[in-house]
Amino acid sequence: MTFSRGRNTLFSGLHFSVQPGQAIWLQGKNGQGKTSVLKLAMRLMQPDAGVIRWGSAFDDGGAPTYIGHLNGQSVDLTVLESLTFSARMHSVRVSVEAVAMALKRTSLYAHRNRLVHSLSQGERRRLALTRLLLNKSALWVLDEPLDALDTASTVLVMRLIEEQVDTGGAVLMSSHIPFHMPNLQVLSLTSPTAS
Amino acid sequence: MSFARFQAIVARDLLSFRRNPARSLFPLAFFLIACSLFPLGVGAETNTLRQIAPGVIWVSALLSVVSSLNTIYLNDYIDGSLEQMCIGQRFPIDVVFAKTVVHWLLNGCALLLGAPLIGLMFGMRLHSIEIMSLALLLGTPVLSMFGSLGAALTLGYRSSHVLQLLVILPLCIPVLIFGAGAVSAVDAGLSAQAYLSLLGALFLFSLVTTPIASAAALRSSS
Repeated sequence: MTFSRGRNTLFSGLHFSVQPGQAIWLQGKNGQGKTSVLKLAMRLMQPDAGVIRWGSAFDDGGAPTYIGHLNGQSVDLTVLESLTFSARMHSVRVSVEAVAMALKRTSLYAHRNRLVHSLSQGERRRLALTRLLLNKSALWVLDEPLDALDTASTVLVMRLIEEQVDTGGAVLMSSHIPFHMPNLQVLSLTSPTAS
Repeated sequence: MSFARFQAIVARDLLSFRRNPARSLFPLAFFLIACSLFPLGVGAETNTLRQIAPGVIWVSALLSVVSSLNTIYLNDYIDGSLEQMCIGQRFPIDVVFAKTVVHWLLNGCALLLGAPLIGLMFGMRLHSIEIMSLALLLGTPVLSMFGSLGAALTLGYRSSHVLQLLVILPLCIPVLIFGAGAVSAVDAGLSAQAYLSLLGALFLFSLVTTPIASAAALRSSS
């Protein structure tokens, strides 16, 4: 893939694949295009050259779940409404029990009827991450998932990622916070001028 | 494109507008205020008012729609919901349809309720009010659809307001002309059918063309 912003070529000749059971940690300096790679993987943007394929290994799970810089929640909805809505956008049916289980896992169950508007940044991030438990996508694409999270939540996210990989799912993520996990593969973005 | 997603977005947006009544009623309030300022400026002469009524109502309707375009996509764009809705969609037409329908319900449909009141205030005849409502029913969806296109095209630009005006005003002018023309024709004792047919044609034209264009614009904005 090659991708430019304006006249600036962010990267060229980038080639990688994500297999089931794999976690890839995307590394690179600020402004080097980590978010762009993740958005390209989600087909939210088009590369200047090259193709992105969602392989058949991921067919069962439907579209990958993407947690971007923005949490993607309307502030006018309650925690429950927000989750139900994003599940419907993802074309998955979720039961009330499944939502309750997921919210208990991310310690948001007590806040289920609060408006997103009244949640803190960290709670909003946790709500966004709760989607991972409900959508059951085979591929997770996470852009700085640990942003705004406290230590306990950080540990939880790492455990969720491990579980996803153990159950044959895949994760493609960026993070500037050091990440410790067995079988974590690092993909470094280097600028075309440097290489 | 799926009907379930369309329904979910419409229900969600109506819920969020119900939680912000002030924001949802703004277009109607703007329309009523704009219209009722005219008699103060022009004078309360019954014949003059009756003559300018269709024009006043249509111009106010157009301005009210244009001033509320940023409610269509901007909030969802800022908080990232729009990105989430577009995942896995080559053309997110269901998103466009849902957003446009909600915009029309809160604008065009609200104006449809307010316009007869303004018509009475301006001394319009009952038959003229009927024709005007019919013209608004055909014309306001066109304004919402072109408006949605303008809003989608300018999403993410800093001076989007100015660009929106430049993009959509030329497209909306035919609606204004035929809409006001229909009522004037009835007032002059002629048939309004030609004008209404043209409005209907515009409605069908925008129904076929704008959703795809808006969806393509949404795709390229993320």
